[in-house]
Amino acid sequence: MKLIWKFNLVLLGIFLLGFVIAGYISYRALQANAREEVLQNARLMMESALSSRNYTTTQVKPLLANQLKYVFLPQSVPAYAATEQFDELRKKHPDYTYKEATLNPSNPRNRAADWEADVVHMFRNAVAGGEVIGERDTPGGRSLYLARPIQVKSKACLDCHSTVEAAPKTMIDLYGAANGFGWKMEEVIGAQIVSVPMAVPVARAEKTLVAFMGSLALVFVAIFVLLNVMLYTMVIRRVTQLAGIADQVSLGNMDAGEFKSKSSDEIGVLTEAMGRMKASLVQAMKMLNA
Amino acid sequence: MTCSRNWLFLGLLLVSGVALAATGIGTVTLVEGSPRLLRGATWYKLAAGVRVDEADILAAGEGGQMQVAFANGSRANLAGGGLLYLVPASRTIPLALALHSGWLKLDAKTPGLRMRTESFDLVIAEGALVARAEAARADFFIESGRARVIELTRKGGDGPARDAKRGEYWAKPDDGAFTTADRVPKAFVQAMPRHFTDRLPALAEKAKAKPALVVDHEITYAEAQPWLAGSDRAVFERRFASRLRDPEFRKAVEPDIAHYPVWDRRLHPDKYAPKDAPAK
Repeated sequence: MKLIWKFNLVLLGIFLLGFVIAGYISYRALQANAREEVLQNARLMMESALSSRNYTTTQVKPLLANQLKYVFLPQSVPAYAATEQFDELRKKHPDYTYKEATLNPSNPRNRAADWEADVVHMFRNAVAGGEVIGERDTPGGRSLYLARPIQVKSKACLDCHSTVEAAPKTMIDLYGAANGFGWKMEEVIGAQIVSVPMAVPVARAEKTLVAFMGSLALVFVAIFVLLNVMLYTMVIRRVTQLAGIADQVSLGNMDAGEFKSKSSDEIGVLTEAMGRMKASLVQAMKMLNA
Repeated sequence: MTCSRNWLFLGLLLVSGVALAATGIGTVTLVEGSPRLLRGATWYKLAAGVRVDEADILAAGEGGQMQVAFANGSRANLAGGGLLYLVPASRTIPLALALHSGWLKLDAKTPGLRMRTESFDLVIAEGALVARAEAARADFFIESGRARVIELTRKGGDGPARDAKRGEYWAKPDDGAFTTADRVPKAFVQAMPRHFTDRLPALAEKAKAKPALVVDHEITYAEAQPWLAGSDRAVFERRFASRLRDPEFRKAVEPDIAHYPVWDRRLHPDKYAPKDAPAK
């Protein structure tokens, strides 16, 4: 087997092994990073929703308090404000969803679905702490969710949700008297849930992986080609030429050519040495013939 | 000694009367559109800072609104083409507002005020309400506090009285009894000027300027007619009598002169001249 084949086989093996190992490590790291990044974004969005809730409770609701005597304005409800604010955000980030999943809401759009109710019960039963992160299968693929409990911390909540009698009549006109009452202080009545389809972080990680592995392959190919060119021009071609002259000289053809090299590298030194050896051989042959 | 005390009392009364006349009973604090004020028989353009006085009539104008801060801290906002008469004070009623038509929001502060419509009076000590009047038909919603509803007798005296509580809506049709509801009807809210859903802002501190009144025009007979047909017709007949000097006004009055015997006597004295006594 020729030297170049041996060299290329070893090189290719090393490259392939490195490629697979790098790919595996990168894949795991990118998947973990993507998930973490999505979770961070989800947390940020959760905080943003929480800020909307607080802003509505402390600043918007007092301003609308008088108007509520005439007509119920959902804009004064923290959950409504947070959901609407998130809906605006979804225009640019449609993959994210936010819901104030509530077991007994006034507004039916906030009613918790089965899996959301399970999450709420985890908070209610103190199975979970301040945050639940999970994954679930949906018709649109696997989904990652981040949930935090909604707890009645302010008496302002009870203005509308304690009893039908105490609630603003304008609110009952809008939502009816059947739901959204009987809340108590410190009770966990629902959960804020931000959901992100897993396809989003996975696709993002895969895209990054493809870009990274593609770059790595390009680098490998470039190195492979460059090493082959260098091996051929700097070693194989010169050794082949040297071997051809040495072969002719060994057969007694002293006119086969000169061992000459302009380079001072190892092959150049070998060429010079062989040149001196040929000169010595010519001299010895002349002395024998005399 | 007693005599000098009496003079002192009269002097103080005179000074306080002059002071009251100079300050008025309230100040216009907010003007939107082209509200006007009728003082005597002359319409004036309104601006923030103008002092209003007893017997003034305020007109919000179509699409406009105006707000008055009264000396006792109460506030009134007139809108929806409203016409409001600031009834001269009496010994028992220091501040009374007669809503002739349109929409009025009141925010009464202690000791409160009295709001009058064609068919009932409302006595509000402390609280806010929104009222609408159209001739003898009127309705109102008690936003906060409570009010005493006094139905008026045919002669204009106080009739049966009841209490209206916060959150109640009362309606008095043209010819019928009060109907009430424990919430404000949608139709009422939809017809109501939008800003009435908010609390009336406290703007008295900002209305420090005292702009001069700018004459708009003298009252026409058409504008005077609703007042001349109302329960205070005698008062307004005297008040607008000066307009009889205007030939246009006189010409407009002539077809209805039979309704105004005082004016008829003035315009046609010959009709009332004593007939010559028969010769003996």
